[in-house]
Amino acid sequence: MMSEREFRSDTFPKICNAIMAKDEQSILNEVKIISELSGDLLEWRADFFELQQDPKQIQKLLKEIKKAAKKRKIIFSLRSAAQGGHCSLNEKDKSTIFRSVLECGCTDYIELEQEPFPLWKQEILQHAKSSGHKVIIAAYDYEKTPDAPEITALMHRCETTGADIPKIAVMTHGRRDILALLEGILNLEQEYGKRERIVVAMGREGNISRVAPWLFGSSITFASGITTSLQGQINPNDLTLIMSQLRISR
Amino acid sequence: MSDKSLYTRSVERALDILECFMAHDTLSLHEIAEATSLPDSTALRIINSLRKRGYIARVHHAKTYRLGERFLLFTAPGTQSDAKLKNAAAFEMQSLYDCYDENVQLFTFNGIELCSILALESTQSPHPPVWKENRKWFACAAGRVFLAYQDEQQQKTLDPTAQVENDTLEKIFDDGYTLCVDPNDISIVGIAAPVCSPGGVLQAVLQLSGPASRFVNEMIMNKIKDTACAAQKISLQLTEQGIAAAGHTDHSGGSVI
Repeated sequence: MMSEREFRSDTFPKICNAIMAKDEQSILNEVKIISELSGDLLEWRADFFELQQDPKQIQKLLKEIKKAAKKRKIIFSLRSAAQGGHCSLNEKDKSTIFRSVLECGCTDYIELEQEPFPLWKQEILQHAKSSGHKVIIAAYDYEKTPDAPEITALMHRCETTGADIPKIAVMTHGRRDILALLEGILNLEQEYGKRERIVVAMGREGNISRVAPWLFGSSITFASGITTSLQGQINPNDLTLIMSQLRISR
Repeated sequence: MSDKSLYTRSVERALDILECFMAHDTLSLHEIAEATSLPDSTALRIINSLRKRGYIARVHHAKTYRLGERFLLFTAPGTQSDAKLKNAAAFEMQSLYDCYDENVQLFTFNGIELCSILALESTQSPHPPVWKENRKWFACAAGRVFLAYQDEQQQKTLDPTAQVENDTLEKIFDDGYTLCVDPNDISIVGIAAPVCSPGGVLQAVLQLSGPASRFVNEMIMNKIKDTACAAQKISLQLTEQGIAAAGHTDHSGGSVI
C-alpha cells in the first residue's frame, strides 16, 4: 500500500488525463473527478467540445476548467481529423480559437500539430511564448509506427519548429514497432541530446511506453480518462503505483 | 448556609441551554437566549464554552447551533440511534451493493473517530478491506464529509495539518457528495455522501469504495449519482421514522430529537 505523497518528486514522470466529453456539464464533471485522482496535468481535447467553434464559449469553459482543476496544469488541444482528432474548423477559425485561448490565460500549455505548420501557427507559437505558455508540437500516426530514421526526423522537425515539448504518438502493432520507436528516440537523444519530450506508443504492445515512459525518453505519460480512454491506457492511480514500483526496483 | 450557595449559576445556565435542544434540532443564538431568559451576550459566552468542549456545534452555513458530537461518547456503541440508522439504511445500501458489488459502508462519528456501523463487502477481486475498527481518518471520502459538517474549531482539531482543503469541504455542500483517493492506498477510490436529519444535521455518511481500476471509467458518474441518491433516500427514511417516533412519543409524553 502506498500513499500519493510517498513517491511524488520532480523526476517522477508527470501523468496527464485527457478530457474528451462533448458538453459543458460533462466536461466539468470529468475535470472535477479527475482532479481528485492521482496525476499532474489535464489535456482538454476541445475538438470533442460541441461548441468548439465559439471562442467565447471556449474562454468561459476554460475559466471553469481552471477553477475545477485545482493545482493541475492544463493543456489545450484542438486536434484535427487528419491527426486522429475531431476538429472540423478551417485554419482561420482554428487560429481565432487558439488566440482566444492564449488571451484567456487559463492554460499552461497549448498543443499544435506539426503537419502542416502554416503562418498562423507560427504566429500562435510566438504569441504563446511571449505570454508565458509552453508549446507542445506534436506528430501523430494513428495507423502505424514509422521506421526509426523517420521517427528521429519527425521529432527533430517538431523541435526545430520551436516546440518547448516535442511529442510523437504512433500506433504499434508488435514488438518490432516498439523497437523502432526506441531506436528512433535513442538516435535522436544521441544526435541532439536529451530534453523534455513526450513519446507515446499506442496499441496493446505500446502499454510499456505508458508504464515506463522514461525508457522512451518521455517526461509525460497519458492515463485513461472518464468517458473515453484509448487502447492501452491505464487509470492514473494504478499508473502511479506501477511506475513507482518500477522506479523503486530500478 | 443559604440554599443559593449550594449551586453554581453558570453550570445551571449551561444546562438550561443544553436542554433547549431537547425540543429542537437547531436553534439560533437569539432563540437560545429567549428560551433561557439570558441576555444574548451571556448566552453566547456559555455557548462558546460548550462549543470549545464539543457539546454544542455550529450548523455549517447557518447562524444556528446544534448539539455537538461529544454527547455521542456518553452512549455505548450499537445503541438505539445506530439501530435506527441501520434500519433506515439497510434497504438502500443493499440496492447500491446489488447494483455495483463494491464495498458499501455506513459510518457515524463519535466526536473523535469514524465508526463503521454497517458494511457490505464486495465479492469481486480485488477489493479493499472493509474497516471494522474505528479510525481517525478524515482524509478519506467519508471522513471528508464529517469534517465538512464540523465548525471551524472542530475542523482544526480533527485535521490539524489541514490535509483536506477548505474548498474541497465547501464543495461537498454544493455537490452533495465527495470523491477521493484513499489517503493510505492510492489504488482505492471512495465516493461518500451525507445522511442528514430533517434539520440538516449530519447523522451518518454513506460510502461506496473500490479499486481505481473499476471506478475510473464511464460508470463513475452513475456510481456518484446512485451513492448521493441512496444517501438522500436514507435521510428521507430517517425523517419518516422520526415522524412515526414523534407520533408514538407524543402519547408517552417523552421527547424525540
